[in-house]
Amino acid sequence: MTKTRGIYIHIPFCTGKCFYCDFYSVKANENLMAKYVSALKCEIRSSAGKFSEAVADTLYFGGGTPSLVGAERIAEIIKTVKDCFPAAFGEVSMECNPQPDIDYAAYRDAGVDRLSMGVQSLDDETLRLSGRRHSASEAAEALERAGRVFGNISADVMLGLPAQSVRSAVETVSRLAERLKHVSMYMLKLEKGTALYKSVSEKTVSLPSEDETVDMYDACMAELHKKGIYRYEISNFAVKGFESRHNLKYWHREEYLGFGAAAHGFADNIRYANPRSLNAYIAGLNFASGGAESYAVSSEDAEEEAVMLALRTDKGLDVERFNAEFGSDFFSRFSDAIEKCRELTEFDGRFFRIKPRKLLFESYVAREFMR
Amino acid sequence: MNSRQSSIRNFCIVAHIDHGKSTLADRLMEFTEQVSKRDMKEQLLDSMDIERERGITIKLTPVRMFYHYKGEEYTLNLIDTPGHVDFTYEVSRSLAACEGAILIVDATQGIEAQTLTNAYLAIDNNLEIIPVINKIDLPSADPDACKKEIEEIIGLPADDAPLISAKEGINIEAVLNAVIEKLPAPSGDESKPLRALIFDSTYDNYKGAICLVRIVDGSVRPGTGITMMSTGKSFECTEVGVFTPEMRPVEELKAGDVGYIAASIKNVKDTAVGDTVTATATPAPEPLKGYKKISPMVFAGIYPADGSKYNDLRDALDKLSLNDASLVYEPEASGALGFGFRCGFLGLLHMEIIEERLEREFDLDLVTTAPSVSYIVNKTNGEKLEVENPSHLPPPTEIESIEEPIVKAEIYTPPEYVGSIMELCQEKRGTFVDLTYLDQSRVKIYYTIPLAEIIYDFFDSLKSRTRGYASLEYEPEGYRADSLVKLDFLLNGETCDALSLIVHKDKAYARGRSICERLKDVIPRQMFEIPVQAAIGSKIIARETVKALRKDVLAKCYGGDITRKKKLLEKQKEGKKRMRQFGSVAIPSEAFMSILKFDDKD
Repeated sequence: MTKTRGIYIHIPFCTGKCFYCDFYSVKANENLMAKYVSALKCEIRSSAGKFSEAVADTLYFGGGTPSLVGAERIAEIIKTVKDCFPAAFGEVSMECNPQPDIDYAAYRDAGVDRLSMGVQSLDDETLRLSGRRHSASEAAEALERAGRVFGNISADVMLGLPAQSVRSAVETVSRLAERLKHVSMYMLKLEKGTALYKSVSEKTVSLPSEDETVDMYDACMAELHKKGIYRYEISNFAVKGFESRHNLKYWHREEYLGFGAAAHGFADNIRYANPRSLNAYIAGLNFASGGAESYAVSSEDAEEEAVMLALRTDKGLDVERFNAEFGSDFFSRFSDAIEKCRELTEFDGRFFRIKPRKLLFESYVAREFMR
Repeated sequence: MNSRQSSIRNFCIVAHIDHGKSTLADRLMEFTEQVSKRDMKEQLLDSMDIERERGITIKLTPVRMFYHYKGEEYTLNLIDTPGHVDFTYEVSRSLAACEGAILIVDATQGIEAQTLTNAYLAIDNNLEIIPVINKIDLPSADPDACKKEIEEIIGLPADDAPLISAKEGINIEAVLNAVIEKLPAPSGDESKPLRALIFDSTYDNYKGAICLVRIVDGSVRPGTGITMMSTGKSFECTEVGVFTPEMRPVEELKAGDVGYIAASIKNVKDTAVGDTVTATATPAPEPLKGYKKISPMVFAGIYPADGSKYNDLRDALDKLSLNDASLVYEPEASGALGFGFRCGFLGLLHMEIIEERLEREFDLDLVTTAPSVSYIVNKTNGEKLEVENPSHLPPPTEIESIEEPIVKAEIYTPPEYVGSIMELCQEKRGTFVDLTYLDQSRVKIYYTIPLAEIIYDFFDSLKSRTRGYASLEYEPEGYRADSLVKLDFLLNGETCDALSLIVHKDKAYARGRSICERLKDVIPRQMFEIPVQAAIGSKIIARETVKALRKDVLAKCYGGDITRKKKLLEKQKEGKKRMRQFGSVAIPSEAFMSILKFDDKD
């Protein structure tokens, strides 16, 4: 069987910073974007020889807001990837945000076949208090226009945002489910250093409680199920057959190359990351496969990673595959952890998984499998 | 008086905290060239890091200096005094070793609570006092007002008090001259049987426990058989010496001298502060006055945060107690905290210092229970019990009455706070004794208050109600019976012994409620619901609920999150190991500690 890999490309530009966001991003600027994309192409070319033995079968543009660099540059990048690696893409995803001026067809023509739209909420008050730069109707309109071009669109939704209620969250996913095949639903994690963290600690903004947020999650999941959109990972829901092939690689512990500032990769048993700094990246300092960190995964760590990642999925860990890959016996290797988590897990003869109603205790279970 | 003693001056420096005691001591040593400037560390006499950081003295270090005055060489022995209310007895013993005292008053602040207490202690010990006004270099200095205060409040003539700046080295000579001119020389009798006052002790790995002494009568030299008069224990003196400030052996110590005696004494508890050392062969008929057996007033359980470090904690306490006769401890087991020690301290500061030293010098993580006092329990069967650990209180049916330690509390305050201080003292079950206007700007309030209330949060409340202006001094004044009950806390139905408290009946409900609320806030939600209850005996008086956890998950785990997430899980797992298991409930040590830190709200 031919070896395959995913490719992740990081585009760290945004038009502004959402109040909850603690990712590395830089204000979009034509000059900087031009330099960045040329550095990106340079990095891709430089690793061609090293990794060209495997077929690139998924491509993912993440960010930031990758669409900001424009369809032309996206096309150039895709072309560069195809020039450098044997490619048979089953999925080319790109993240974007609802912007009135996007020419969706241009991205389709560039080679993108799946969009992931940052909607977050279809409630104007919630959007405003979260620092989103679009209204609910603009988001709906963007999805409408994109839907005329793309058959595979996902929307990101967040739960636990300011002014959000169970009702408004359910209404948001309900409207999305009517036209989409995929929804990602993330419970907000309030990060230090964000604008939202500041206003929450100053008590100018209040957030739904943890319990309310879990209520939102349960209610939204039920609503999605009603519409035929099923959970396949803690935060990801799709119509059968529309699961993200690229993201599944992460949870199946398959390989992926990462290009761009702050991008992470995993290949030949090495996990690596590029430096976060855009300027350092553009200057070509230490980029290419692990300028910031790089380490070989020990066999013990590899087993733990495999379990930790697979337990995030509804399907669970393929025990046969695990045993074959690591030459060990899952049930005896982790007998203590399995015993401790008996109430929370189940085994169907092939897959070991967290019970569907207990999936939100994933970290609790995964901890038991760590040394 | 013989001429040898006439050239000796034994003195100490007394002051309110921060008024410049250690700085002046440093300056005196520098001036008499006892230490070269090169060797000067800030505050040389405070040898422990904690002392230097906090600006307080815990262990005493005397120092011998030579000073030439009018063609004669004088030996000056400066005896340091500890500077905190926990150590009043130690202060009084080091004062008793002197003939005179330098009383420092900060020219910018005037007389403060400890200035007065220490001045009175010095007067009580018949010391000659030289007032010295310090910090005259500061713009806000008001030396005239200071002099007036000294004369009016303490009743000492202050007209020719040296005006100095210890920090800048201004007028240090005037202080030394006054010491020689104004302080009396010692007047012991060398031919009488040996009487040496122990004013502190220390431990040396080679020499054993060492007595820091003032020779009052007679003499001592290596080979002299010595006896501790309070216990009758005898030893053979192996070395005598003086402090320069390092220990330096000498041939002999005679009446009037200050120095040390080493006698291969194994236990520092055999060198009790205030005890009299005499010669075994020719014992003195009477010991020196003033010896008291000091006993700890505040008790707390100290446990290693990591249960496997029990032996390390024991070794550390063994080592600390070598040097600290007032630290007592015995092993204790708690259902909640495992194996640890019940420790007795002189006061809250002493407790804090020991905790800090254990953590710093021995690198231990500790869990300490709420400080408590020692209760006397009169049982219905006539037995009397001393209870230092609230969880050891017998069942209510066996208790006739409980007595608690009472202290005599003296509070010094500007008059505008008198009302709110008296209110506070009433709330704290105090009994009013007296109120005196010392002058227009200062009032002394005298109450008797249960010690348990003092160590609970009295000091902080006092400070916050008087914006820091009031100060407190206290000393034990016996026991008094009151309606005291044991308050227990139950987590998931099981009593957590480490949280048990003895409180006054009228305060039990409020305390129970507030601690339950705090427990609810700090106990992390777990996979099941946890009732948190406060109980007196079998009666539940307060209840809160820690709701079951609903999620324990990271929403995102994509390519860039895997390394971080795995490290996070490992770290969390490591953290879980350090959690304390209370029956079925796990609580992080830090959270447990935060429950024990009381605040003003209750």
